[in-house]
Amino acid sequence: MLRNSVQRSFFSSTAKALAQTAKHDVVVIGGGPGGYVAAIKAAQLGFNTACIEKRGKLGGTCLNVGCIPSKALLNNTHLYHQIKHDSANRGIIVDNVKLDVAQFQAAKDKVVKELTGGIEMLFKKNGVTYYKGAGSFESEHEVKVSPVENGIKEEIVLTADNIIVATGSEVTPFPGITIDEERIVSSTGILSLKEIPKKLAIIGGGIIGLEMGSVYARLGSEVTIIEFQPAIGASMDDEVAKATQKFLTKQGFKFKTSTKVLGATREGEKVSVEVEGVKNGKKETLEADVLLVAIGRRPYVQGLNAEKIGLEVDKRGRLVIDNNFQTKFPHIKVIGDVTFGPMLAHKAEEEGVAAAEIIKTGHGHVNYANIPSVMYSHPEVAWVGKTEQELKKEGIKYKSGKFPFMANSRAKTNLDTDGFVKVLIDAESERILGAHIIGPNAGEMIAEAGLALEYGASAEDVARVCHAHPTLSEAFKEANLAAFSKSINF
Amino acid sequence: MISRNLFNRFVSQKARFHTRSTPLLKASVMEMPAMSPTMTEGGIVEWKVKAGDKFSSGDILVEVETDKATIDVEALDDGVMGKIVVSNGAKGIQVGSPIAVLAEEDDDLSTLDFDALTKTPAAKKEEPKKDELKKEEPKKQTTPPKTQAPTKSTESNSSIFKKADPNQTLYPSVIQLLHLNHISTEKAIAEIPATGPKGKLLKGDVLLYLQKINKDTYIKLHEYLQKGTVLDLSNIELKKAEPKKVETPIVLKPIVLTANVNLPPLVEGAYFEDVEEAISKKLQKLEREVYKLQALRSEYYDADFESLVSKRYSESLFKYEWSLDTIGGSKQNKKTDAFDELFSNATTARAENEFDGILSISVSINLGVSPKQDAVLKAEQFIKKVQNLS
Repeated sequence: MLRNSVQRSFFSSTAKALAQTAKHDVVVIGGGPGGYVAAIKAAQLGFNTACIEKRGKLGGTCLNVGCIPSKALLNNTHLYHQIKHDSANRGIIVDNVKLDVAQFQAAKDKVVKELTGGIEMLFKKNGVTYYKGAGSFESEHEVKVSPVENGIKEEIVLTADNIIVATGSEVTPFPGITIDEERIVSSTGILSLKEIPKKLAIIGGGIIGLEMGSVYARLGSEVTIIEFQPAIGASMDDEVAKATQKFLTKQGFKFKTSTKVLGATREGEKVSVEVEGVKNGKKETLEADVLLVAIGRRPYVQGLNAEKIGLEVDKRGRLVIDNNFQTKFPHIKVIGDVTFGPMLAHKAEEEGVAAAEIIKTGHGHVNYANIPSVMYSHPEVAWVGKTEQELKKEGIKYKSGKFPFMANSRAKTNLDTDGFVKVLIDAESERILGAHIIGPNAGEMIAEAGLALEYGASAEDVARVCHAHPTLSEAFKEANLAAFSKSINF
Repeated sequence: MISRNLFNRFVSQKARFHTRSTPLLKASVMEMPAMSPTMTEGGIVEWKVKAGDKFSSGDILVEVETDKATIDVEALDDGVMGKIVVSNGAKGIQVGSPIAVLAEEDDDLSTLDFDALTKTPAAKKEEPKKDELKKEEPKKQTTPPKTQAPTKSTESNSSIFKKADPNQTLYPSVIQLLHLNHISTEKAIAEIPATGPKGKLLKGDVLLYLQKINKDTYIKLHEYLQKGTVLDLSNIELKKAEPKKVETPIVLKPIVLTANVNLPPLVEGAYFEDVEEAISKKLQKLEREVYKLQALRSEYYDADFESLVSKRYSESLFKYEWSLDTIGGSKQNKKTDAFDELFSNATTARAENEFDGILSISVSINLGVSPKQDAVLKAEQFIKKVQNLS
């Protein structure tokens, strides 16, 4: 006993003396879209920069289990659905269309692998030191990196002048429902189902729910969306949300809005979901083969040891910052999903750049009034700036210009005419306040609206810019024309 | 560059000057001074300097007439009379209205934008005064009404307005509006305050300059849009300070588990030490059993994980002390320490007398302040088993 303890203390002191250390100007904890961009930017600004990631692959939720794999599935299922149901209309006869689920998943995994590998290459190119391990605060200036599988073998303590926390978010669990990622799945599990469920129930009518619903609806699943709110589409413009619901219903979606989920249990290979109408209190049980829980995401700080140095956390678990991303320690900055603002990859990227620039120059800027949102359903939905309901609430007098894709020549030639562009402008100065697009390629087209917003453009400014013909973007021009004057082609 | 009080009057001590400077423009506006607290308007009797005249600190600039007296107003600082806005003989000029523009000696008077300057103070006034001013405007012969309309919108009273960037590429809508209203690009950039990013002129800026839109609405819109450009970090509700919760366990008491068990009456003629030995063996057996227990794990139990992190059962997880008491009798202490075992002869020797009463065993475990979870669970099981001995 005595010898044992002597030995132990001997070993621990030796271990301490031999513990590896390293010094960096900037240490970024988290290698997702916020963290890896911050790290590259900091390195480009001349800082000795390190990035810590414990997932084993860079790119965070977005590249590994979020935006990227879901878009791969969305694109390929759209293709499949078109070949199966639409190609004959276009004079293309394809017989014997089948889905090879394994290959279908492999195609997605390949994309993910290439993209995450690409970031590692970018790190090398820009001289960012990459620690494959779990980062946690030791002190205000020290971050310990602990070994993870296939990562670093020995613990290392990094000393840093500046630390950027970008640990992201995780799926918000539904109280009382156990996610097994087989039959009751999160946004992660739904990406790799081994078979197509006959019935798919989805809790949450936000972007994740509607996108994954689209994937499986195209593959033949009967999709039911259960939403507590009276409308789907989260922060979408009301009119656009209604149009979205209409188009998705046409694609076979079933919607249960104003419906509360009481619980869900797996019974063998089936899941039964207990729901209750919010207004009428009517209870009912829904049967499904797979249940997707997509009610949102919450900040992720597990293992960060933020409490050790006393970083402040708000009621919803977000790390507290000021307008320069600074915590109570000015040299520790927080960006992305783990702090305030919308949980979007492109928002985190902007913050990553701004945070690195603040370290370098004391100034960095993100315009939170101009962050676009895109839903990759078909038709796509994209928006930026104010919605009609927001303007009404604020008492801003506005004008609206709408243009349907039905009247756009490119949409016509593509036989893809669902949707419209809506531009909201100030009634007097005609400045563009918001743009809402539901239609083919809306996600690409929204960039033009973002540029217009950033420069305080009026509808006339966009309408007077020459847009190529025939393109879908003409619809955006025409909507602007309609907002302050009259559209030509409608 | 520009002193806030370029001049001073010498008669009334209560007079107040409303001179304001516009940092962007290198001149200051002289306003009708208030010669007494009750004075609301006054007249210009005679200007003592002409436009372009230099003056020094203390020189009399103008003779002002109030309802009570005529008072000379003198300069506080050296300067040049840029422009006289309200000429000799004018009456009923509101206190605070611009009456002249004063420049610094080395200012180039030809580049000064007098119209913009003289309108600046009016904009800074509260609404009622502004209205009064408007009523008065026709009286002022020195300012042509034609130029007045546009200059009203050049007031730079709100932080949203910036000087237009002279090197900008004008927006298509702005080019169109300027053309339709016969305003040159140079004039637009010189006269129209910009609200766009980095001094860019927006369509709304030109419309405001042309007085085609409402200024208050325009400013309100800008303020609303500005609000959204930064994260709303107001009203952050901090999570109940967890660090405090962490601090309190520091004063936690050690975990102590005890069991007190009454044994059934012993058979006649049993020796105390026999009983003692039997109990000792029994307790050791229980301890071994508990160590072997793997069922203590939570629902998250993972055998492989457990084998990596938990101690082997041969290692000591906890130590217990026990004593055998007669009810109301003497107490015998026993420890399982190696030390006690070595010297156990000494203790047993004291207990050689025959015993036939009721016995009770008390077992206690002191686990210290922060034992391993595993140790606590196993110690709890051990105590439970001891309690079941009766």
